[in-house]
Amino acid sequence: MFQKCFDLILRSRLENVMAAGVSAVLLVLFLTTRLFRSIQLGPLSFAFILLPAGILAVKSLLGLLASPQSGDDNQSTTRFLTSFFRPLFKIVRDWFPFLLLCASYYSLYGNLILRVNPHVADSPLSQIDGWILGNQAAVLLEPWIRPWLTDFLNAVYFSHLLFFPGIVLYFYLVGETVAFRRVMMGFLTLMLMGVATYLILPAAGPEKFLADRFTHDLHGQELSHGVNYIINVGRVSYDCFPSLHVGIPLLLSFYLRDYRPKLFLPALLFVLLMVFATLYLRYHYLVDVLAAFLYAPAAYYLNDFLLGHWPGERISRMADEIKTTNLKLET
Amino acid sequence: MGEYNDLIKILLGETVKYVLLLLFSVLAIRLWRRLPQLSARHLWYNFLLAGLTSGIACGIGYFSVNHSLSLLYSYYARRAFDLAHWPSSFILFQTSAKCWRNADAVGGQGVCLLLLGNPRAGVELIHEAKALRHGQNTPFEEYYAGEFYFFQDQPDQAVPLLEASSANPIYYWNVAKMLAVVQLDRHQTADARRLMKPFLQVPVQKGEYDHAYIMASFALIDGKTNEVRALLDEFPSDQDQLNPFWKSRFDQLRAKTQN
Repeated sequence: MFQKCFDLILRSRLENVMAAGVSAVLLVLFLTTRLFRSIQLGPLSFAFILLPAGILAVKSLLGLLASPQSGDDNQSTTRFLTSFFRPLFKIVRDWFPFLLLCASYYSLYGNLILRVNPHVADSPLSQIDGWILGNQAAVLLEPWIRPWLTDFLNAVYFSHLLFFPGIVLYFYLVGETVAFRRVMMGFLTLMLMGVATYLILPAAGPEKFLADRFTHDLHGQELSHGVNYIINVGRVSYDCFPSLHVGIPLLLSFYLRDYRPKLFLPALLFVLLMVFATLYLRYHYLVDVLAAFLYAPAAYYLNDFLLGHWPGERISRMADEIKTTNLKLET
Repeated sequence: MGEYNDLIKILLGETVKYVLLLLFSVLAIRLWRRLPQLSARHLWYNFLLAGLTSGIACGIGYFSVNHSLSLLYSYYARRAFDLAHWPSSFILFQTSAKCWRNADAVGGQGVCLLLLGNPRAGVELIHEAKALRHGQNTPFEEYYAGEFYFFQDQPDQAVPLLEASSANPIYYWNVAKMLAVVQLDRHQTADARRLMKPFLQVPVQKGEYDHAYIMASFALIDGKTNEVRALLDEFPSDQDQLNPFWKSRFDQLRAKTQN
């Protein structure tokens, strides 16, 4: 029995095992300690997983509505219902483990922030910036402040919430399942690394910590006010080091280099704009951005290592190879 | 964070409702469409299922639209309430409750009635909201019910409500002042000072009778009569807007300074 369970775990997809494992740990923490009191859905769970999964579900339903009657419709009602719900089950099956993992990581963060380490790290982070630049990046950028630039960079900062789900949704829709799962797992590996660091080094960011040193307002207009509202409502506190706003697009650019090389340079340009936006808009210190350039490649290689060595992934790769060989032999 | 959680709840709730509606509608349409092609063996079962699915879709649609309208009216009611337009807010809460009877709309109506001078019906509705939430009120309802009892000179009923409402930071400052006044009325000066300790350096603003009364009382206890007079001079007892609750207290302070 134990051997069978163990075999089943090893044969499962990595994200399923991780989602089940992390959720079980959180459940134990919830039941046995006062450390963990609530399950939370972070903004990234919405923007990166629920939004594309919802679009897929709606697309699938509208597709079913528009599709003509097929010969299969003459079959029994039970079979009809099975074929009706199959595409929806597939969406849930493919996306739910990622949602569970993302929500678990966010919940870990939300419940434990300032409890693992109650001392905020803004002072050392700003000191490092001072050591690198001789001053704070956001203060040095003050002469550049223009209303149109603030609006443009706010739009860049916000587009992060559309860029990643757009690419992931595209991979899923064109049927590149391997790319889809690799990107999603890469994002979650980076998120786990980021959340772990936030818990150890919580920091509020220059906007709050250096508030008395700024002499210019950012002078954003309607667009900036809207983006600021969304960010202030959805943003979690003390999520400064490293900058996932830079890390996630950078990680995505690595995957685009692998699957769509023509998009690699535009993606890097987006990363550079994001770097400028995070510093100009006073969300991050320079050291947070530099850390993102270390975290993203680390997450990329760690994720590939995990996917490459997990037995379930190797089995599914072997099964794919056998299928392809059989097809070739048949033809 | 509370605002974020509310937003998430609304987004998730609305999405789930309308995706479910779409799911059952599409399923019903597909089931009706396949009906003419079926053999007699499958026909009745499919017909019943199509009817059931259509019924469920209509039900979900009806309740979803009502629920969404209720949320919308509640939102506008809260906006009217924040602008101190109590009658408009009451009507909007009432319309919200008509669309979908929910504790927030009922409690909102109760609070509006309290402020509109109909305390009996207001308290009744707040109790009804509490019953709808299985024994819980929101800080919003607790604060305004507590404030009502406070001005009715019923501190025993006001204090637990005000204490509970202070969980929401937007009410904390006002609650601290009202609780300090209650403690001063009970001659428990040490407790009043403890409540006001974080705010002792906050200057008294024009129209803040509670703050002025507390600071004047503290100054009187400390024997600083000049300070008390200076504060009281800013709130003369012949002022029209001074309600009887504060008028009697300010008059008592004046009498004490003259003694």
